[in-house]
Amino acid sequence: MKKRVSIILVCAFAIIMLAACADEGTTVADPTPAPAAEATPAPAADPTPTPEAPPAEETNPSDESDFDFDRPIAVFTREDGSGTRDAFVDATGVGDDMSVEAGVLTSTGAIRTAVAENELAISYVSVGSLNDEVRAIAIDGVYPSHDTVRDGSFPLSRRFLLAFTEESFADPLVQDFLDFVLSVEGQELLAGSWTPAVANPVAFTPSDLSGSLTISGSTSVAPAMDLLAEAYMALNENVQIDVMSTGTGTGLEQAATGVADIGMASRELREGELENLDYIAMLLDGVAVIVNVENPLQGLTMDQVREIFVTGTLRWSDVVS
Amino acid sequence: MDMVKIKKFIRKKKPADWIRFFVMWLSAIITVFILLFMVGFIVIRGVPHLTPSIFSPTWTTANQSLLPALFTTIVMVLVTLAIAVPFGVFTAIYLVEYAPRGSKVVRIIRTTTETLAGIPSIVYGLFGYIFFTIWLGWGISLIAGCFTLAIMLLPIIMRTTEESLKSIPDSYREGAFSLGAGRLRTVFRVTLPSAMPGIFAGVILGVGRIVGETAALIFTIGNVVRMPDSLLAPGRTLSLHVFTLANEGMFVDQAYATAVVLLALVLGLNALSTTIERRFRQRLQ
Amino acid sequence: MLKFRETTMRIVFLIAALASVAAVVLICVFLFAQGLPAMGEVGILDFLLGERWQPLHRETPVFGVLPFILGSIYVTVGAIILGVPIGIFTAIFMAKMCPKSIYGFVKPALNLLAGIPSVVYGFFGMMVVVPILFDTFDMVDGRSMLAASIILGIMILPTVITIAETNLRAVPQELYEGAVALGASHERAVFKVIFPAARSGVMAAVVLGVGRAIGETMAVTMVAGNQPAMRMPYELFRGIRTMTANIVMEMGYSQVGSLHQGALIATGVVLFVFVLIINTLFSMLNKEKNIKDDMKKEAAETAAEPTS
Repeated sequence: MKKRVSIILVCAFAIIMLAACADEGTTVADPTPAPAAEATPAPAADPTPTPEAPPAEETNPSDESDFDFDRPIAVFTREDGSGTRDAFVDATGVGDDMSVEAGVLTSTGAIRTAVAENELAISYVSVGSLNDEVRAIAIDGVYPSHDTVRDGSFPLSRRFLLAFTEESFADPLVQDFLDFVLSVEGQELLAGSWTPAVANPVAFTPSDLSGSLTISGSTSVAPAMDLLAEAYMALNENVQIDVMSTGTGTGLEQAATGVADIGMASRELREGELENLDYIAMLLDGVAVIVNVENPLQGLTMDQVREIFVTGTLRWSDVVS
Repeated sequence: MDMVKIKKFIRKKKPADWIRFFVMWLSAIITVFILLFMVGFIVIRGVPHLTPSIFSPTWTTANQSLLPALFTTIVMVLVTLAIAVPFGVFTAIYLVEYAPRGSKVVRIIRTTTETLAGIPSIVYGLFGYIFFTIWLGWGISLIAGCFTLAIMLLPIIMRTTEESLKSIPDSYREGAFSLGAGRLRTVFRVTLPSAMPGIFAGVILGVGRIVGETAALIFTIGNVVRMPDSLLAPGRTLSLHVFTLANEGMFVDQAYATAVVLLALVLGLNALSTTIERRFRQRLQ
Repeated sequence: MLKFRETTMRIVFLIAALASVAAVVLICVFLFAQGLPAMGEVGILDFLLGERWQPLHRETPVFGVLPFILGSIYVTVGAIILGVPIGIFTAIFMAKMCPKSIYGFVKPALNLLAGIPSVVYGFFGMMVVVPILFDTFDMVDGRSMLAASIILGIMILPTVITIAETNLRAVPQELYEGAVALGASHERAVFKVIFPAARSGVMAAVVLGVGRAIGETMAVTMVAGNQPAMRMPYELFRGIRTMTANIVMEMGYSQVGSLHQGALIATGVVLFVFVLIINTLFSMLNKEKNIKDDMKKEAAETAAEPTS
């Protein structure tokens, strides 16, 4: 008797559970697209500068939004040693004072996902890695876009560099690959998402080399490098290129010690690093400050950005009047 | 005494007993629920994304094929076993068949293997990175990862082999000795073959551990997608692939699908190991 | 010739057996040789009790691992609070209450739970636990001490249950029969007699669970938020970084031979020492249990003698 009851219990439970399981699947799967559509159009595509206005009033939440500005800001940052973080803290003046309350995530994708899922979030990613899951805001009234990055009016601009030692540059394969990166073919390949760094690129002629290359470094540069490596390997069938997305610091270290042939950096090289590394500028990029798509915030001043990241525990109402 | 006979003497439940009864049932149900929910969630979300594209022979940024990671995993498993199994099995043979019972050597070896079994995998990863990758200069390579994993695997293989060797009745050995076989011959011709299924079960358990390992590998084999054409090159195993896809959040669907493959692999291996072990025990009895 | 082969193989076996000893020695030597100098350079007290961790600070790098030590302890305690009661009750259930038909279903399920790779736990945590916590508790972010504790609590379940169950089963049936003969109901006998008798074995299970929780890396890194901030135990809804997460996040960035790398290895040394203490505790508890078992056996034998 007891046995039978227990079996029935377990069966019933299993069914309830499976139902709950399926439910959960659908609720989590829907990232509630409706409010996203109501939000202001993606500003990254909007090249027109926002009207000149005092920074505090520039942040005018639209009336239809029910975003509660009294809630805390969820600050996310990249980990220590990331090139994007270095470029960001240098340009904003956050420097070494990044708040310990900021959530630390170890990749561009992770940051984007976190901001997409959390309507209180603010963080920063490479302009080349923006997508419609998150929304870039204006800094000092300028939205990040290819144009503002190219003409330097976007205040958080930086360069993507490829660094190498003299010995590794002596390898014809490294030279040929770098030529490809700077060629018409290479730069056009990247022009969709990034801003090319070369004003007048030359055409590339494949010379059918063979061998293998190890390229290591910034996780922001890696997606661009993956595209380049794929295209280059299609042109040179006997070449194997390994792209390791390890972070700028590691990549430069590995390039300097010969572990990698080329290091990818998403910030300028420091004095110590310049001693044994040469570099080329591969792309221009900006660091976009991003918020959740449900957040109606239009822009912040550089000072506000710095305050948010240094304090770490502000409320949205502290920066938005 | 038989449970059935006792049962009629047992008192009826009092209120406190009902509480105990329900707490226990509840706990067990919660445990099973969590497990099934977790596996079910990942399978339900992952199976629809098991498309041919994630099994395509060449990895691209668009398809996130898991084949290179799968092959790397297989290579890693084979090489690691080739290192760990001889050491583990020989250690067990020494402990069971050769060492004088209760000797100091045995005690030391037993303490060290217990220590090895308790070390967290991140510490193995650190050690592998400092020792194999940097100090021995192997660089970030599959072989550095294999050696790191081999050390991790030693206690598992050793313990299961030891258990199976111990469970071989002494009469087998005595029979072999009385027929004039030496100790070595007895080990390789009698005890080891009879203990084989038990050892095999342990090895498969170890394979499951290799397949699921991440923390020990992230510094030693790097995290590069490539076909494993050289042991000195970096690579990425299946579980590292899941970690990267999940952590970067750009290919969540592929992450689910890869996690399903990984789960199927690990759970299949565990089930296989359990079945073999049960057969082995039954045969001995 | 035969004799020669015997002795060579004997030596080969011995050498193989000593490999594990060599491995432990190597691990200790390399970790300590690289970690301790860095700890010394930072200053042992500044290192262990320092509240700030800024390894790449441009002027004055600071290496204080207290937040991470506390972080590891908090999430482990959290995992124990959440996982151990459920684990122990489930173990009692499986050892003494479970109808055979259900046992045949629960036991394999538990074995499966034990085999699931930690990335899968972490992935599940990221996709399910973190969003649910975020929505339910109005947190700043779902990645938190609580999320890490929940995931770890689930992860230690199989370890705790399997070992506790084995130990509960090892309690002599006579104790149960005695209790029942004195008028205890089944539940009362199990809770008041069998469970106390297996106490040290159950403790051993908990200790092993602690070992698993404190050493867990990937799953924790994926759900804990990783803020290098000092936390109080009640700040459940805030993010935290454990020692393991600190190592796995920054090891890749540290330059070979730098103080940063040394400090990370030293973090590993601290973790290693924690684990060694836990292991010693575990084997002590096991030993105590074995002694008790022997005594019980003897007692049972002497008790049985007069009647036979």
